[in-house]
Amino acid sequence: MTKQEIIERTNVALAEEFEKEPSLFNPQENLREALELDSLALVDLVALLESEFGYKIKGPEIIEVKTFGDLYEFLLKKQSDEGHLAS
Amino acid sequence: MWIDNYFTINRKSRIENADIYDVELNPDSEIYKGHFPGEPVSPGVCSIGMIVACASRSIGSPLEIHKISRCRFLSAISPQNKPDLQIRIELTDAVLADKKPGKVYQIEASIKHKELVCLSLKGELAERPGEV
Amino acid sequence: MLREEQIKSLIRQREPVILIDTFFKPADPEYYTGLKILPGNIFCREDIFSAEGVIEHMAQSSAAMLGYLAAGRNEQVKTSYIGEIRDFELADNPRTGDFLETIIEILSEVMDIILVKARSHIASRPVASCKMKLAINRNVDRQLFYN
Repeated sequence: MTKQEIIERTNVALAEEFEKEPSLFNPQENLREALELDSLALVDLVALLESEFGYKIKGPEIIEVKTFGDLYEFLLKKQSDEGHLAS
Repeated sequence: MWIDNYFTINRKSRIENADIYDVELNPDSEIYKGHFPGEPVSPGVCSIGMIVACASRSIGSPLEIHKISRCRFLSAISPQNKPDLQIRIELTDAVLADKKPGKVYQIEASIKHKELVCLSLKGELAERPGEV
Repeated sequence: MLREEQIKSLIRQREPVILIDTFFKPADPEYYTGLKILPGNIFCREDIFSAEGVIEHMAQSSAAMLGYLAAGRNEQVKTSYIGEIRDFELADNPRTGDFLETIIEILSEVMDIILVKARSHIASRPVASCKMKLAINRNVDRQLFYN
């Protein structure tokens, strides 16, 4: 997947799961604030990303992700480390 | 059944389109013998059961859980220290999507202790066949 | 396979609110529990086992799984708390005499929160399903997860 494809798929998945307007997402914005995530929602985020992209994501990895931009970079890196898994 | 002596409704009021029930828990409920020995904690499902019982009061006929879209348990509830709890219930008619014999209601409800929200629930209740 | 009295080593609940009587782990990532619905079960109204009972059975099944995992790591079994239930649907109430069987599958796990899917059936008939979040640490609350 290209970076743009990752961005689009991620935004669509996040918008649907957390019921937010994707046009409001921007790379500098803080994920937890934009999606109104609390501690219970973190596990939904991980489950969503794992099922959307097929990568296994660990707690300590996702904690480092602060902004939408961080998330896109994280997924791009997963792809280059682990290869294309999900169709 | 356990719900029959689980709690007492002290007051019922109506604010906009919600019924508000001021309730207190019965610390002698046999539920607490097992949940947990030495540390009574109201099980999440019993809190849901209280909401269903109050909703049945609001409608005037027995209701039961049909679906729960989401129920969040935000804070533990214990009968110790006799907390004053407020159960807030909003019911609207739902479209009968799957041929339930009786009526189905959409419910949005919460249980609060003072300003602290302990539980929030969104789902559907259906009329329960048989007597209360 | 663990039965009845042995289940007490996995969960904190005691009579009259124990709602699992069978537990085993067939294969990763699934765990299996069962409950024979006996007359006089506290969640029965006459001979109908209520939705609350089904949910509590699913929650205890998840808690037993966590207890089993903790024991496997030689850790003390901690109490787990249901944080959230999502998409619970009940097709049909179980009745006394039925043997309710449930499969618990871990969907994801982050910090002290575990997301599971629970599917219950009686013989080959699906009865209910839901997703549940369990918190192992009581202090996990609504604070935003980035501190």
